[in-house]
Amino acid sequence: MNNQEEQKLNERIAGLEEKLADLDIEIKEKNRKLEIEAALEKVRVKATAMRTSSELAETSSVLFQQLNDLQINAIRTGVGIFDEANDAMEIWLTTVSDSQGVVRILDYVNLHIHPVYENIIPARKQNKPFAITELAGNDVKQYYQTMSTYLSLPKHQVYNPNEYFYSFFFSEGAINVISKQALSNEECNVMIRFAQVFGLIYTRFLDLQKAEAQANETLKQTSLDRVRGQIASMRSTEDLQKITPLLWSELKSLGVPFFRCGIFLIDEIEKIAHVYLSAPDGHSLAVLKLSFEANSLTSNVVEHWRNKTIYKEHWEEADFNNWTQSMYEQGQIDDKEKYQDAANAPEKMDLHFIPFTNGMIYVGDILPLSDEEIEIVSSLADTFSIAYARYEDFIQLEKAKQSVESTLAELKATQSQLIQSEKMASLGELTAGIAHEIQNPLNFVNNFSEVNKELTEELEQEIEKGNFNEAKIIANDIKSNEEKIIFHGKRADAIVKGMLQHSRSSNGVKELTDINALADEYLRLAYHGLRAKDKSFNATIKTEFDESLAVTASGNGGVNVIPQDIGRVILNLFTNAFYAVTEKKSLNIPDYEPTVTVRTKNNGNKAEIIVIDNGNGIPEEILDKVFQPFFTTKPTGKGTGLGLSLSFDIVKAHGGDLIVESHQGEGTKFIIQLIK
Amino acid sequence: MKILVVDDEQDVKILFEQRFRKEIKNNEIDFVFAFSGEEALVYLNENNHEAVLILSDINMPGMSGLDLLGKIKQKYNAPPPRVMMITAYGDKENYETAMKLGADDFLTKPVEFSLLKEKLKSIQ
Repeated sequence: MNNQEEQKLNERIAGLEEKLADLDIEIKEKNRKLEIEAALEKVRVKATAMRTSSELAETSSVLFQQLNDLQINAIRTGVGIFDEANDAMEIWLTTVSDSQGVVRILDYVNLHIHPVYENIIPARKQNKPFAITELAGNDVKQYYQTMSTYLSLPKHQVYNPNEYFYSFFFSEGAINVISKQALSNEECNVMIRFAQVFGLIYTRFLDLQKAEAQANETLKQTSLDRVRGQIASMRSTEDLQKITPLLWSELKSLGVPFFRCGIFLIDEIEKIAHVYLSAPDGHSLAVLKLSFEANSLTSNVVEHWRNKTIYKEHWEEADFNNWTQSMYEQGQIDDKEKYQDAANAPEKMDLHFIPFTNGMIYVGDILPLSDEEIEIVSSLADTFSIAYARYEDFIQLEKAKQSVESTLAELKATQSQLIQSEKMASLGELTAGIAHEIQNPLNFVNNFSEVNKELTEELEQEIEKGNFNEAKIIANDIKSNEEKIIFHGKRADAIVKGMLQHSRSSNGVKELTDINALADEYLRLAYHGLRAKDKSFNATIKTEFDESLAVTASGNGGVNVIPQDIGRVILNLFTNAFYAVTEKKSLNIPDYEPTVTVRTKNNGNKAEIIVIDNGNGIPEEILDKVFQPFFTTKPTGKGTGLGLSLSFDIVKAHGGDLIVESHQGEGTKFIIQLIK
Repeated sequence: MKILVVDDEQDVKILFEQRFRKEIKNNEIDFVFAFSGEEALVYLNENNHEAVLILSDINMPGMSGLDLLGKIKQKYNAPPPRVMMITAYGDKENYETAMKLGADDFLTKPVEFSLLKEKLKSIQ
């Protein structure tokens, strides 16, 4: 092999080596690219697999693990989410080593606090893929000093001479990379792609968060609806016992952590807090009645409730024991063990009181509730307010109902008194009539007796004289007078009996009654009763009795009624009719003849008693009111307003009807329809 | 002497006829009966001035005795018949009204027939 050959060979080898080296580089580059692609793909797959927003940390950890594996030359990496409106950024810290809490929101910084952040603004505006700020020397130290007030960064004893701050953008934020040296173009490109993939994760995270928020809202609304429904169904104070299990189950379904809950209903009038407590298992634990000043907790709760603010208190085990002891001493609880749930007595607890209209919702847990959790309890409290207001309305309604009922009972008592007095009043009206009615037959009895006494003397004389024909005539006269005496004696007797019947309460026994005779009897009583009261009173009475209604000797005919009751109705109608014609008469209308007509009518299966007056009639607008209790057009003291109402009730109780027809200026007609 | 008795009680007729059986028998008194004020006016219209005395009840359905009295004293004024009112309610108000309307006498029920007879005799 000559030199030339050797040289050629060497050149070839060199060329091949060079090519090999190039190929090696190319392979390495390709490998790197493949690595990057594989890493990105892994992250993408993880991103699409995200099912809940809580997986963000896990997914992000995959991304940063991949970045770590690609050995990007960085001191730290992190995520920033922009708050466009406020030129600010949420800083999330990522530490790969901590697999549990990879993403934690560290702080919220304004972009104007330092040039490192300030430079992000124009870069984003110009749609650059990333922003970069290089700090050197003292600026590095200064940066960390500035940021130490915002971020809890590891304390730097030794500061790097140079630090490069990169922000690789995705639509809502940036992946921040801090390095000691400038990143290579390749590294920058990798970061740009990773930022885009993170953008994907973040978008997915936001979507999931939104969907979850909607789902939560639905859950919350369902829960609140249940609360409304439950409270709306409460009807008594006993039902309030149901309020704690309700609160318990809703706090559970809303995902609020707690091991004790309850309701403080605050009664400002009695200055008492009614406390309904639930045990950890959801059962009602205790119902306490605490005065506002019973202990500092109660007074604090009441104070905060008045201000409509949330109240929180932290308890150690001793506080809990003290409370239990004091409740026991006050006799509020019977069993300390049961109350404390001794086996599970908490070492420490945080008590939260969230106000609603009528009190405070109490939630106790081992740790303080987060703002979100308190927010959820607040919306529950709002629902309690609304629902409880309805419950209160109901209680008010119940109270109103009770008061109406007691008023009604009083009214009924008063009414029955009035009915009695109405009866007595009509008896009073009757008395004068009765006196007159009895007086007349008594006069006849007396007169005919006297006449008979004279006649018997004459009879003796005629017999002594032997004038037997004359004696016979006289004897006949005596006989017919005796019949008159018997007749009028019976008449008086019937009147007295009628009066007794009227004053006696109705025994409710129906009997076959001659309504013609009944109507006639009460017509006379009413007429003479009024006459006795008012001397100037007078009216023409027309009777038109349907004889087919009379009771025959064989006991046929007649109507089955309670005679004293129907008599009272007739009396009332007559009294009204006489009152009406007297009123009209007082107007001094020429040729006016006050007339009251009573008519009976056999209408097949019905019997009618009709009372007609030619008075002024009843105005149309009050015609439908005349049967209402206490309705009267008579001056105060003249009528109870119960007469027609009672009459109506009596006729109805007989299965009949009382009908009124009236024409103004012409008169009024009342029809009693009775079933035969 | 013709006397018109006005009363809504039908048995008044029998009573009067019995009480005055002697006077009727001796044709000293001739009784005519009307059972309402209206009926009385019809009789007076048809038998002008026949009755010298009218004995009228006050309490009657329709036209009362006082109405009748007023009408008689207005209409039959030359010379009007004597009208004697008889009522169960012998109170001052009724009495004064009757006197104002021109009643010649006023009796209360129950009628004492011996007193009535004396009054009638004094008229004759």
